Amino acid sequence: MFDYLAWIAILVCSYAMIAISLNIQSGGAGMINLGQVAFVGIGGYSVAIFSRAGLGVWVGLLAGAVIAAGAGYLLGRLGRTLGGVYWAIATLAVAELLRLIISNTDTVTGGMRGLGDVAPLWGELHGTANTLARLVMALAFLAVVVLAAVHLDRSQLGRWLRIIRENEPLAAALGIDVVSAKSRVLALSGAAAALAGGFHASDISFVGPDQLLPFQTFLALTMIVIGGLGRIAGAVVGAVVVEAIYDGTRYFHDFLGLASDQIAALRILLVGAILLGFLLLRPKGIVADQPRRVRV
Amino acid sequence: MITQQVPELVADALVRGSTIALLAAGLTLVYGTMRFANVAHVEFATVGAYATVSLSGVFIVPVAGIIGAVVAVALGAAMYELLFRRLLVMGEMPAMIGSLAVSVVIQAVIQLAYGSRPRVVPHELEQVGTVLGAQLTASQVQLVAVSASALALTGALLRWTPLGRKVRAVAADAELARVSGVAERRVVATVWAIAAGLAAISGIELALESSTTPALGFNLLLPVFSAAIVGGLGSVLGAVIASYGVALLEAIVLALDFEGSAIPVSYRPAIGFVFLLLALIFRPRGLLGAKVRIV
Amino acid sequence: MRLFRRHSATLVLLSSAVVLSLAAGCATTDASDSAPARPATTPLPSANPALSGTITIGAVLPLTGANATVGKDQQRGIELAVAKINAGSGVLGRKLAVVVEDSQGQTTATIDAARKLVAVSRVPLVIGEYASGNTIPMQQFLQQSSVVGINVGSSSIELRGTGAMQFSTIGLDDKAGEFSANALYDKGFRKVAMLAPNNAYGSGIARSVADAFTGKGGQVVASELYTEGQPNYRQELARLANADPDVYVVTTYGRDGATINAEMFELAMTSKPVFDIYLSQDVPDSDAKAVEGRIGMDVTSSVGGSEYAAYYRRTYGEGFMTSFSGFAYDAVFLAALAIEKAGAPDAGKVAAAIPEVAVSYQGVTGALAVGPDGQRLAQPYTLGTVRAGRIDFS
Repeated sequence: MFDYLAWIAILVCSYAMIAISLNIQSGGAGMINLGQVAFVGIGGYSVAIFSRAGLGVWVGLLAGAVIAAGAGYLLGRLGRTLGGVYWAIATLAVAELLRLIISNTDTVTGGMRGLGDVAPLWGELHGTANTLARLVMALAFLAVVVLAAVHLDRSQLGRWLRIIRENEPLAAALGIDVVSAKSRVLALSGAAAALAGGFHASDISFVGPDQLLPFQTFLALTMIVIGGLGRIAGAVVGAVVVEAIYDGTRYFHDFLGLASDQIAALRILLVGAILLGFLLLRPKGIVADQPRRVRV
Repeated sequence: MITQQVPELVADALVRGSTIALLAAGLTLVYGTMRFANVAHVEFATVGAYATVSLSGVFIVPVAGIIGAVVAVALGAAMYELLFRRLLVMGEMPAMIGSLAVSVVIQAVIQLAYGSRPRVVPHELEQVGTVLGAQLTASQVQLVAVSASALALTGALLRWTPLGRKVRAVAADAELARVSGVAERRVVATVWAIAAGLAAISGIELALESSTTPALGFNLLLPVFSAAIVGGLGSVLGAVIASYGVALLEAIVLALDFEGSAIPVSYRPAIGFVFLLLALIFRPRGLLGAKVRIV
Repeated sequence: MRLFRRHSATLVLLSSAVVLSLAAGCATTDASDSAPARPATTPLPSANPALSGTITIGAVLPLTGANATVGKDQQRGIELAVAKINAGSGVLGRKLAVVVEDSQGQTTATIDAARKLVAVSRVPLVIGEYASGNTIPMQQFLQQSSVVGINVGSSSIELRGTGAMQFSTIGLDDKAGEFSANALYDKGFRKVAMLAPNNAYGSGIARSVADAFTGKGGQVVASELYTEGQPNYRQELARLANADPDVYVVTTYGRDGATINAEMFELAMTSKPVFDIYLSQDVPDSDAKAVEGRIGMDVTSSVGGSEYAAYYRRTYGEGFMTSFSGFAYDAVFLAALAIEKAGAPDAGKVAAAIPEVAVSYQGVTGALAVGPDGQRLAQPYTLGTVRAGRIDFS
């Protein structure tokens, strides 16, 4: 039983990391990225490829974070003129492009079959020791991402990003290098998402193109809207709620006697309806952004 | 070198491009008049298709199709009134995210009601005939003909009727239009009717050609948005040109053969994406669009 | 601004019209869409009252998602086996129970389900899944947790390496590939063009057939993997046609299968021979005109006319939904026999017992003897032809 609960907790940590990575872009800088899952995938596949090539899981993790950061930075620079809708669609296109390439390249990425046999991050352990090690590692990773997000929030870059979020032309008028700021936050966001992806790949010992579907980004988006855009604790809360729905509906067929593929639809319906509900009724989320105290 | 003849390439482009053009035209029209990037737009196609499939047991196909289109339009109007209007007040991006949520909900509802197995409108199998050098079935020719007529009608409406002029006025500048007395309410209603109607036709045609699944519309989301953006958001003509253009590009690239190895057909959407990304880097305003703000 | 300022009544009317027409259509379609009134079904045999207590094993199947049809059929196989066992002498004097969890067709959910079975239900053995991309990670996890796994639907050759406690009741790709390649070569074909879905199953089988066929001296002039769920496949089919083969080798299922078969007919490709791998997966769903005269192969248990086929038909009122129920059926029996031999539902002992039991066991899908890698040694297949919409197995 402990094993199962620990597994749920670890999943929540993975989701929360992705949610936070998305949050620092959207909540922090007002950029809606519909292709965040691409960074997660880069992390996951790096770990898998490096692990299977015998080069080590941690090296793969590092490589994944670096590549994702680079990709994020590049994305920021290329998208310098793009706002709102254009940016959202462009990022979605990039993520789908990556998924297509991965799905159709049999040799390196295993194509649609995915890559299995990924070594764990914590070495060869069994039983309860294994579970504990995984749980501790998950919490540690989450802590790292949270700390990075908090640090960003309090830094000058974080302040600039908030101005950009509220009023981009004003930010430019104030002399802030908007493109550079966006690129840097994208790099950080990419690295964080890659860490989450790499950790998850090692956890379930598998990575596949299924994990790069746009719906995964949609889930992350729901988490941060539920939790409150811009709020780090909110992202974690959102992750808990979404994971509860996802796992909770598994028990539905015991209680409601619905057909199996209806339950799958119901699960998705719930997530979509909740996102819509929060947008309409409580746009600030559960954990709303508190006004800051200014010391005069 | 290219393994297919020109007529085949053109035929391919016409068939695929028509489906996308119907959707892109409506999407760009809605964006132009309401500054609303409606991700759920493609769901009008799905809803229209399912309504037609359901009713095809009761009515003959053309009648079922018309009723299906009406259902989609009604849904569009209802969703605007109850959901989109409120989301738009909050801003362009919340509205877009909200429409994404609506899209997901619609797909889930359809799957709940109809199951995930595809549904078909029963029809007789036919073999291809040669039309102007290309191999096409009768229903494919019909698809292109109906789509072209619908688009032509829409174009005529927008260009030559007073209502169409009002729509274009609002698209150009909503404030000014309101101040000069253009009845915005009628314009908005017209735009939704056109957009949802065209989308429904697209969905119905797709369903007739093969089958319909809950993801019918969503699978086309990116190609449709790409075409609308490349053509310039707000310009119906641009969207139509871009739709057929990208379809032709796809057909050409897929027909390329280098010493026996060709690009896998699964990469078809990638061609459109690459084109979109290049367009966004070098000409973000699109073919015929308004200037995009540069910071 | 509001569309219906003065006419909210219109809005309500319109909304109801939308809902009503969809609901009405829904009901109508259900009625006209379903097969003609099903013959009366017989309930499953009831359990032997002399049995007391329960032995539980687990199963992870794709009950939802893209492969829900297969998952459902696998579940049927399990149901049939459990009922038969419990109507007889049970396992070690106790009833057998199989806890089935939904993999949703996704890897994370598959592992999640497996974890639940291992940690919460504490089963010594897990049956499943269908897609190699899900079965392989699951068996690796089961191996790490010292739980026995029996694969009933995946055929990727990578399953050979998942671990000493992991087995399969389904023959791997190389067997089907070998059989098909031999059949094609024997019929005189020397140039083939292949079409398969772009997933673990499709790419695996395409490679196996290609390797076996070229090994015999034949030539694969074209090979396309199609993306599932598209409205049409004309481009892929055009490429195959352009390669000018002697025969088209296709393997498809579900709605895509029906679409592809219809399009092959429309494009007049059916004037050349078509060889179908696993006929029963797509022929029943397709238009009879499109598949007339097609040849192909299938797993022998799909042939029907056997006692198992009669049992299946009695219980569910229809013929086999897919080719896969038999493997699940055999897996349950194999597990039951192994637990009996081991004397206890202990994973380690059961794993040791399976190879011993399998040697002499004749399953509904054939002789189940397994090799040292836990994989089936022999898999019987049969050739068939399609006539008037039905498969005629010679």
